[in-house]
Amino acid sequence: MAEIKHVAALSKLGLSAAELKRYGEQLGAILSYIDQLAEVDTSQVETATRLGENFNVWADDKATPWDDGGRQIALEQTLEMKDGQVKVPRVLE
Amino acid sequence: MNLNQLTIKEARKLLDKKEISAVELTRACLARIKATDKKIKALITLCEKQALDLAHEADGRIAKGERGALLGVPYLVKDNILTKGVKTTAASKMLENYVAPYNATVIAKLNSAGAVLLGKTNLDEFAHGASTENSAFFTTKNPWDLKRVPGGSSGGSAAAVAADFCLFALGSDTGGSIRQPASFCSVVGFKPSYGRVSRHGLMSMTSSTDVIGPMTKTVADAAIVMEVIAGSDKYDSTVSREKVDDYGKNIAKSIKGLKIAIPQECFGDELSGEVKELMQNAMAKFKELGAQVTEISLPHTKYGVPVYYIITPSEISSNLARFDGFRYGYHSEVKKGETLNEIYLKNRGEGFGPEVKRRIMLGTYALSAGYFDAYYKKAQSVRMLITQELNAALQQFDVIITPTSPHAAFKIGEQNQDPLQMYLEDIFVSGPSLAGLPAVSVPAGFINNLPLGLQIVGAKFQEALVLQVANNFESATEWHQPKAKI
Repeated sequence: MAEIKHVAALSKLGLSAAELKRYGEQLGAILSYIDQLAEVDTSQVETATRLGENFNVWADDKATPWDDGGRQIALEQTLEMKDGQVKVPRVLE
Repeated sequence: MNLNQLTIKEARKLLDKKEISAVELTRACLARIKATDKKIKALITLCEKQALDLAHEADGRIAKGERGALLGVPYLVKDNILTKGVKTTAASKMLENYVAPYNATVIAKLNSAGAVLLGKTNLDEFAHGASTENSAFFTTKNPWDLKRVPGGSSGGSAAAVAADFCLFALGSDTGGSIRQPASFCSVVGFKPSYGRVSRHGLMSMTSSTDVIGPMTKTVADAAIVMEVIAGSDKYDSTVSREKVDDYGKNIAKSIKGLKIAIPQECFGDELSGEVKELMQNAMAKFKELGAQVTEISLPHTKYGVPVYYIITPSEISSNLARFDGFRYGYHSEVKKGETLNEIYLKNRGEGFGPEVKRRIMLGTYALSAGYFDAYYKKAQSVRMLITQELNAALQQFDVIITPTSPHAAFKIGEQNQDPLQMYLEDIFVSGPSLAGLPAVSVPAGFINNLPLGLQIVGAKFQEALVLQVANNFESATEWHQPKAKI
């Protein structure tokens, strides 16, 4: 129970006591099933190579105007606007 | 025949000969949706006015002599793909009122091609699930039996295509979410190679396996949609720069001499006699078509699900961290004196549903100090072995064939109390996702009047070959022809 509370806190999820109990049991069962991975010999696996043929793709860090109406839609998704800015709840005293 | 029942290929001929208009075709789809979706519940949002506007526009382009494979063709989109100015909810309370401010690259490409967006389809919340029962809004019903699930997570798209609400739909596949519902609803579901189609504007779930793909009535139609949506994108650096093949070119070419591998692990004792028989019939058909069928062993197959359920939740815990309810999305009422952390806990605790919470916690745990090596690193290592095993088999053989799902559609409510049981749905489909391979589910028969698909898996970027094999099977069988009586 202490462990599931810790994981919920790390996950930033506010859960009821009933939820903690239920998810704790379910996650326990899922992890027991996943534990079968321990039987696989992975001593020879070089995980660094899993990047395979991937490559870095670079782009200039340059602001471009967003003027196709999308900006307005994006701003409308917020709770409150003030002076063209998103107003969020006060979080600092 | 009603116009909404047409395939893309059939509609194309009629549109180009001006025997029908895009508006007529769109109206037929809208009428079908309005008459039938009360029963199926495939749609979250219907865009009637916008669809008719787009159809008028397409008719104008056709009248001017423009030609294009999807010009004037109506389609539906899974609601985790962004559509500018249209609600995009991911079937989550967290995004219940969210309107997308831009188009996903696939939507932008379909727009330029003149395809007509009809609306958005239901899914498991944030695509976490295999039945649509995890949708925060409602469960979609399987058109073949309304008491059963359509599969998931792209269940709304699969049911919509099966019920002829549209000519095609888009789904997303992270570990089977296009293929499994295609199997349950008797449609074609195509998962491209990882990196073949841009993910820009697809809500990130598992960034290392997520792909967008078509759900269609025929294999040829899947090839048509793929040609429009595939290819590089400056907004997604993980998209391959390899050139996109002409998927329709060799689709009807004979598969004589083709080498098919059948992994014996997919035909174990757990598999029912009916599914085995259906698969044996399919293999007999492939042999008739001139293919060589060889039984092989892929001993790491059984680790696909446990690996997937570490990798996926780990990436989810990171990708869904952005939803905190501050700038957009669900926000709980803030009480005076509440700390920032308390607001986060409430917004996320109230905004997310049970399966999303389970996955975020599972991933957070697997990535946390002290467990990272035992879970995440171990899973990535086994993932490497699964990938190497599949790639080695695909050097020797042209394709690997398995059942798409271990059984036909299950009843609503039958499995959703046990998350682990639901995860086992992914047994045959998780491997190709972890390895980034192209795979398709095509209708392969019926068990007690419920459809089941077979899965054809190819080597990376061998989309054209996978489609060719699927098309040969489809042309030699009649399983794709019966329609759900709804």
